[in-house]
Amino acid sequence: MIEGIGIGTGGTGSTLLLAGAVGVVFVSVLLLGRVMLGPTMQDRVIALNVIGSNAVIVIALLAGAMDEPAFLDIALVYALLNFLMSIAISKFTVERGGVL
Amino acid sequence: MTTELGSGDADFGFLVPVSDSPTLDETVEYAAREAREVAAETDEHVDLFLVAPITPDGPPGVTDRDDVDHLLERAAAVATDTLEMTDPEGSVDVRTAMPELARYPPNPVEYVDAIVAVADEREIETVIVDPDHRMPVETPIGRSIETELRDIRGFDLEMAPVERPARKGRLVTRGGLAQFLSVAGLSFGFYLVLGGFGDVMFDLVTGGVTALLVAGVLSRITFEQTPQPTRVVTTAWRWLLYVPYLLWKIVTANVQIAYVVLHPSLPIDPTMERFEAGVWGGTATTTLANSITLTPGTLTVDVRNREFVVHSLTSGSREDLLDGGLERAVRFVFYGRSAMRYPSPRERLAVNTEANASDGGAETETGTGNAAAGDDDGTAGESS
Amino acid sequence: MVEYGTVAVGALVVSGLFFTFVAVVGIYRLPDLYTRTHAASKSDTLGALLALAAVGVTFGVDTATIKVALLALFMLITSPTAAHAIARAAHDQDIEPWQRGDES
Repeated sequence: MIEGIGIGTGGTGSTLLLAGAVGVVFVSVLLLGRVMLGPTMQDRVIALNVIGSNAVIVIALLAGAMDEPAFLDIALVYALLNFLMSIAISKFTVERGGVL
Repeated sequence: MTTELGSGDADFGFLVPVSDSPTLDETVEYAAREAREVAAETDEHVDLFLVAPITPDGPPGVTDRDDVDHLLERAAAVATDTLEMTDPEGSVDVRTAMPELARYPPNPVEYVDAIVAVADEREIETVIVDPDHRMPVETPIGRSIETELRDIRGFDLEMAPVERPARKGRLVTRGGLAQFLSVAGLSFGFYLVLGGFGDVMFDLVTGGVTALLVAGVLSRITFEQTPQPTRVVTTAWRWLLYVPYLLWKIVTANVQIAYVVLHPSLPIDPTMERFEAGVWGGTATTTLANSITLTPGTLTVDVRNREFVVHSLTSGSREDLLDGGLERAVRFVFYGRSAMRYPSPRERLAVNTEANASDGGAETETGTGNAAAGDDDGTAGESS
Repeated sequence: MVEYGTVAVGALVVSGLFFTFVAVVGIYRLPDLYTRTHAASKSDTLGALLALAAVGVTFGVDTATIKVALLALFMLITSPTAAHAIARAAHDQDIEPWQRGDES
């Protein structure tokens, strides 16, 4: 907020949060492998679910690092969507035998 | 259906569980016609049983003997009327039964047990269920009387083909001022938290309008029971005790998982466990299921009524689960301190223990709870 | 005060990152879907809680912290529920759990 978009607070704390966000992003990218490997639909959903949670974490960390509380609303909505995704796919795989 | 019944029994029977639902009359009519058809085809005598379990000790107005009596009378009248038009010889007998449930509140399993007992006594194998049948008890997520009867008890089950006005019941409870105010208050608070406290007047007004709208639309489906302030306060207080315990368990769980996952040889020994949990009711079951998922090496895979299917990652976590520390904690949150004295899943399963008592955690009564407990204050379920 | 805060944030971020990492390793290494769900539901939840705690500490006493708490509560409820839904879907499709003895 202080300096607009950049790393507003600039302290060690926000650097740490940024570093954490980078780490989580890195780890999430690794997970894409599991999404591709499968082998079952559920494996992919689990991996995607974790990636989604990680995205929420990243958004929250960025909110902290940049001192932008508004990001937290986005994180909240993202968490909601992520949950719905898991539930919806599980439901479809049970009732229809697959999403597509 | 009729062919399966065509064995050499002297009497055939149909059983209809009766509850106060908008489609009761249609169901009974359908059952009566079915019964008459079987009677005509086989030239046998057919009994049509209308069954409604009652709880003698219940609070007045919930499952009153008089109410149920009246309901059964009405259903019987509908059945007799239907039969009179089509069955002049009187080959179908309409009977009613009111099995008594041991205690209030009954759990769904006991409720179905009571119906099954009536069916077994008369060797009835066909049950016709009202699609809108409502058990006078809280049911855990999505499991209904038909699931219980068909999938678990193996009855030949038929759903009465009724025209449903709408998917009423189950979800919708009686609305009331308490519900309305609670929902309105909660959404108002949520609105303010999300909106921040920038322009106070604007926030208050829009928040108020939104809260009223939300409460108007959703207050009837938000709660299972009417919230009572005293109960809410005591439960909230117990939650405050439960959450740190749960968090502690979560941390232990994760250290364990981290150890297992990062260990070069991956020391896991996964199994599926089935056990009957000592909790019931939507919220309590959900809490226990989620807590199990979050804590040491266990994952709730399926829940049917009170039967949990739990996947456990290591043998240590299996032991922990059967020791029942979590279950006891959840019972404490929802049923109070006295309910903590309840035999652990291990004792209920009578599993032979290997005396491998893992860490006791933070609960107060770690030792095996005394097996004689199980009948305190009416909340305890049947100890098998 | 500031130093304590920074140290706490650092510790929380690092441990959160560690558990998130454990979740990922678990999802790769564990043999079948159910065991992977274990790793996903538990480790990732704790990782998220720790990271959110770090954010909460950064914000200090503020309405944003309430939001962070709400977010944490929400993840605490939804993550095991989602894991349960997925595992149950698998169970309903009769996917057999891996057991010690059968390889791969």
